[in-house]
Amino acid sequence: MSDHRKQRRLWYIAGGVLIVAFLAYGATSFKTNLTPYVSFEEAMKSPRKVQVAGGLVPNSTSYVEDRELLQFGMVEESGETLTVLYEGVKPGNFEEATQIVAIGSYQNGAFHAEQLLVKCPSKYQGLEEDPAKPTSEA
Amino acid sequence: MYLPGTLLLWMAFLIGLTSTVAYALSIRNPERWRPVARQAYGLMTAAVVIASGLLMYLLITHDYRLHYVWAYSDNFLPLHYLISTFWGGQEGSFMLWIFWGVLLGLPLIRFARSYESRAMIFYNLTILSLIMLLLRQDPFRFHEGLTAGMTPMDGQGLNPLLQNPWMVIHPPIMFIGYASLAIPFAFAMAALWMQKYDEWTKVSLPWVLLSLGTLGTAIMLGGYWAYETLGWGGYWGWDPVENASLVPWLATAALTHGMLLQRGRKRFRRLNLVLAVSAYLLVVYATFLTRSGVLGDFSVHSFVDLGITGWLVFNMGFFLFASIALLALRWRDIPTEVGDEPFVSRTIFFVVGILLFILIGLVVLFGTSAPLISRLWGEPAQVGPEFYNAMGFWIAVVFAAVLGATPFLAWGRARKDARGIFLASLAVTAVGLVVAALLDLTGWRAFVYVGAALFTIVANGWAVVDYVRSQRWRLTGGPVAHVGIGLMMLAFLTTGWLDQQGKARLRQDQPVELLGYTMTFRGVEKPTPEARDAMVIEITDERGKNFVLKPRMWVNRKSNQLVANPDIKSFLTSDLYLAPVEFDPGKEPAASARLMLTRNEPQSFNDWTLTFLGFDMSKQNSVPGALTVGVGVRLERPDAEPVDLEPTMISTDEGVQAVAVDIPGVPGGRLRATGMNVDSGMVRVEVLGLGGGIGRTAMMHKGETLAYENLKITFQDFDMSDFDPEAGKINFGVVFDVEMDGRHMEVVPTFRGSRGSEPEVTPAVVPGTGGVTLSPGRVDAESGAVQLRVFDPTLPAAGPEPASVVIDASTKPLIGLVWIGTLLVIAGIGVAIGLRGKDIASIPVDH
Repeated sequence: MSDHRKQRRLWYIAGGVLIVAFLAYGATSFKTNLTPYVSFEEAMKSPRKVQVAGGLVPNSTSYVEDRELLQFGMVEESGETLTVLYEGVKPGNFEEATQIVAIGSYQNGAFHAEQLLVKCPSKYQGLEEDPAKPTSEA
Repeated sequence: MYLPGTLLLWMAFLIGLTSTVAYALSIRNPERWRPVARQAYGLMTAAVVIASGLLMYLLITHDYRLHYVWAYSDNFLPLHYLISTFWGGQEGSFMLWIFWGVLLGLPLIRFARSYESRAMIFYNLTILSLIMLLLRQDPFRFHEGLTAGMTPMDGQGLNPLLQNPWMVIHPPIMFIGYASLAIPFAFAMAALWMQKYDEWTKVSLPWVLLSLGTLGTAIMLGGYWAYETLGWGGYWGWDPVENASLVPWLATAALTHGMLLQRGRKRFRRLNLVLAVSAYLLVVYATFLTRSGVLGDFSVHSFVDLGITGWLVFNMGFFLFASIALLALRWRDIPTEVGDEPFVSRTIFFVVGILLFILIGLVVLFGTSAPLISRLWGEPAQVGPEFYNAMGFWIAVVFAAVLGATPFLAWGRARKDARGIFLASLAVTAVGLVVAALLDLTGWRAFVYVGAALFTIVANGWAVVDYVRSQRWRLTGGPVAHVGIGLMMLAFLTTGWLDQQGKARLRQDQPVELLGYTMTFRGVEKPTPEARDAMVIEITDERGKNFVLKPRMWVNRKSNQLVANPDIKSFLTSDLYLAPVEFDPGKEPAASARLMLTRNEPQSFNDWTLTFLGFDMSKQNSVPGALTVGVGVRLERPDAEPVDLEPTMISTDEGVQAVAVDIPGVPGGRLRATGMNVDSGMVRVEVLGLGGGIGRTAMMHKGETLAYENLKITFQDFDMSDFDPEAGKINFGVVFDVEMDGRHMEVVPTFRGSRGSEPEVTPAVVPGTGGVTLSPGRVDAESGAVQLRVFDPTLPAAGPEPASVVIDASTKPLIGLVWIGTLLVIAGIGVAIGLRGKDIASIPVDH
């Protein structure tokens, strides 16, 4: 076997080990970073990081000055409500959102969101039965 | 439906099918069928272009019969945004994709040489698969159940976040990128078919570079838009839609380098074929992910299910099956060679680089598909940015190390002359790390990462200089792009780990220290009624330099939602990023008096007399887009010259803005017109800021007495002498007996009103008290009680609360490098296209 081939063998093995290690690292990272969707009730049970989805409680958005947080209420289909605190800047289209997804964990009575996703209704709407509006001018 | 448009789409589809069949026939019989196929293709292109033109025309002329036009545009959009509504919705964006696709096919036919027939079969199929989606969901359809006379007068309008110049150019470029990825795919399939495993790289490399450049540009434009418009301060969120474009780009990058490798060493043929096919399949998969609604719950771009999921799955399945079948068929046929190079050679480093591209691509692909994957064993869940950052970090380090070393290597071995420069590069990198440490970089991970990035920049920088010096300009493409990548890598770390952030409430004219800057909110600026409210913030940095930032918060007229935009000041080494969080207009000083004035009828307030003189229309157009009316009022005061004041009222579609004028001689005093009735010649004015306030308020029944200071006020009765509801007069007085120093006085404030209008209250001054005024408030007819408010001018005025804005400020160190790096990458790709373009000429036309 030529020198190069021997050298190659070694590098293949080293590479192989690295790749396996990386894959293992990746798999565990993947698993630990998975944030499942849960209901409000489930979210309140444990401090682990989850996703919750719901509608925005109208007029519940306020900026809590001394803690520099955005606070608002979310409501689920079941009627259950959740107080959410968010450190960042309010996302665009917030009050108009048909649905809001908050990713974070429940602590001390409120859901601390690290990320907020907002579902915008206007872009890429689906095929709906939209009633043709009558002309506005009489 | 709008018949011409839909017809054209159907025509395009059928003619496209014809072209495909003709191309298939032209394999055996080129002279007969190739002209037919080409003509058919040309006709299909014409049909698509005309259909697109029609859609654009319908949008610009506001034809709201069409659901699409109604859903995404409105009468108020300026032309450039109106044009961008073409791709504002799903059908339009597919249309745009097809538009570029058919146009790109024209040069493809010209330069495809002997591959034309077979490549065009596949290329046509990719286009047809997209047109098919539009046949299912027609952009030209009318509203359901539309009848004549029910056409809407206005549309729903474009999402305000999309009304932005970057969003006008980002999608068109993105779709050029998407459309162009079908070309290497078509070539790869043709190559497999024709069993030409080497030459196809020559003919398709320029196209691959085009895809790389356009897709990369579009991705970064999206990032820049997010940074500049959205306000969360970042440019990449690892959102499924962002990732969906990134993965094909990574595959394309791997393919580019794989093709270069194949040309240099005649190896890795299978890999390149697989990569070319994968790049396109990933685009189809990405389309499935983002348009089928499966990720609807997991993305900021949050699409709703759009009715074409089944067709998207069919597309994926079809192309996947075709690719795998052809690859399997030819797999054994493809010549492979085992290489003999030492590890430290360009070849191996290229391979490592390609593998890293594929690895990152897989990481992002799996991360993005997490909701689908996790569905297999439980509830759907997604992974957050931490996953991508954790995985990407070390890949990036290895990448940068490899990228830095490659300029020193030749294909077969390390370059002999490179040793000196190599050591010099290491030395420069070390110096850079010391500088970084002095600039407060901490953590061994950060040092490793920064070191790798610096090494790449230095090494490739040297390569550029070297090529330029030896006048081999064309070869500078790669190194230039790699310098760009190194700069971007550096910026990823500095903007992600070294940023500072803080929030503060800025009260008008009160400076606040934040992040080392002194910030003062000066007020809201709205130069024209259509302009978006801008919060003017003056900032002084530590060195005394002044500038102004204007973040904005405004209510979008159509959707009635609050939209915010940040403002950014870019310095050489960092950006200062200001995002508005909340705006509080504050409280104005309470009005001291409200009077209803009729033309030329003086009215008194305390010891002042105000007379409404008339309306002044001479300056009605002074504010563009609004009507400005001046209200002339003469003010006469004891011990002062009579003065004529003219507060104005500015009316727009959105409402009326009253502009107050200062009252000379009375500090803080202002006169403002708050309402007017041109027909009856009456105006309502307010006097502000005079000082004084309500001393006491109480509900009083007849006979009750209220004491205030040295006054005893008794509510006696209502004076109904002028009360005649049938004549439309609802006027009555409230009679109070006021006892002061033993004297009794009768003080009668009045209500004056007519049917349908608010009653006007005229307070009555208690003579001899220096301005104490009695003003009735609510009247409770049942119990016969009236609310009395005693106004005392000697009380300090209720102070106004200043307006304030809460801002989120952050510094983004070295973020400029992200954009500069991007430009370098694009420039490098451009140079490379120039280099490779001439290769096509060497390929024979026919086989």
